[in-house]
Amino acid sequence: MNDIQRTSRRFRLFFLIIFYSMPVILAVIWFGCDFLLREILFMMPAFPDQCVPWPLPLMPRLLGFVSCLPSTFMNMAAFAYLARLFGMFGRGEFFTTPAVRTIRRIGWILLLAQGVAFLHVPLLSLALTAANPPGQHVITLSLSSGMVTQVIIGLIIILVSKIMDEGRKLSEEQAYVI
Amino acid sequence: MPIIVNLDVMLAKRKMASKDLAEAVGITPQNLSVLKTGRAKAIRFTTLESICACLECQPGDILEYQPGEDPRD
Repeated sequence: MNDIQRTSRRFRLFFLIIFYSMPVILAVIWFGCDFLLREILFMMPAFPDQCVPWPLPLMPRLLGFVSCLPSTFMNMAAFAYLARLFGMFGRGEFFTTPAVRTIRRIGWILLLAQGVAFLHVPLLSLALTAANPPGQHVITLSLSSGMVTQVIIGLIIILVSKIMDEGRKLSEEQAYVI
Repeated sequence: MPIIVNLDVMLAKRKMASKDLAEAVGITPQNLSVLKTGRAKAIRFTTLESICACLECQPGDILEYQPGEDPRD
């Protein structure tokens, strides 16, 4: 087993650990760690912290948790595909059709995740202020440079998948050179 | 494919098994099968040289050109 395969297997394990721990960490933050939840919420850009009651009642807490699920699932999907990709690299499958397809899917997930992330902040702010008296509900919209960066990275990854596809064609051609 | 590989004929003449030829040439039996069945897209000169050395023959004894349907047409 060469260096690439050995390192790839370690990365696969790392991504699998993140994949399985993400929903657990999300649940722990929302329902088991008020201090951390407050720090995270108040660090979010343009977050209406003055309108959010603290300590957070159960209903806004549940709604807030549910509003985070779409974003979390997109991130979990990205890590699942990353684990699958590095699993292939760990088996020495570099320029194969499944590897190319997986890289392309990772790029698309990054793009779609930013669409979901754009909806995440308004949903979250609405969820957390849902129990407030009328006239004190807040919807926050936020567009950060991080989201733009992720879109650019997603597009680059899709381009890289096209380059890997050219490598796949060369590899398949090479396989029939005896 | 217009280029036909007549390895089976030479293997029979020399009474050699495919597995033995593959081992002597330094390629896998699967790759030798690719060559025999005409699925190979190219052959390296070093491989051709090794095959000719093992089978004590000329390249023309194992490679034959048959003009037929050209996929490029």
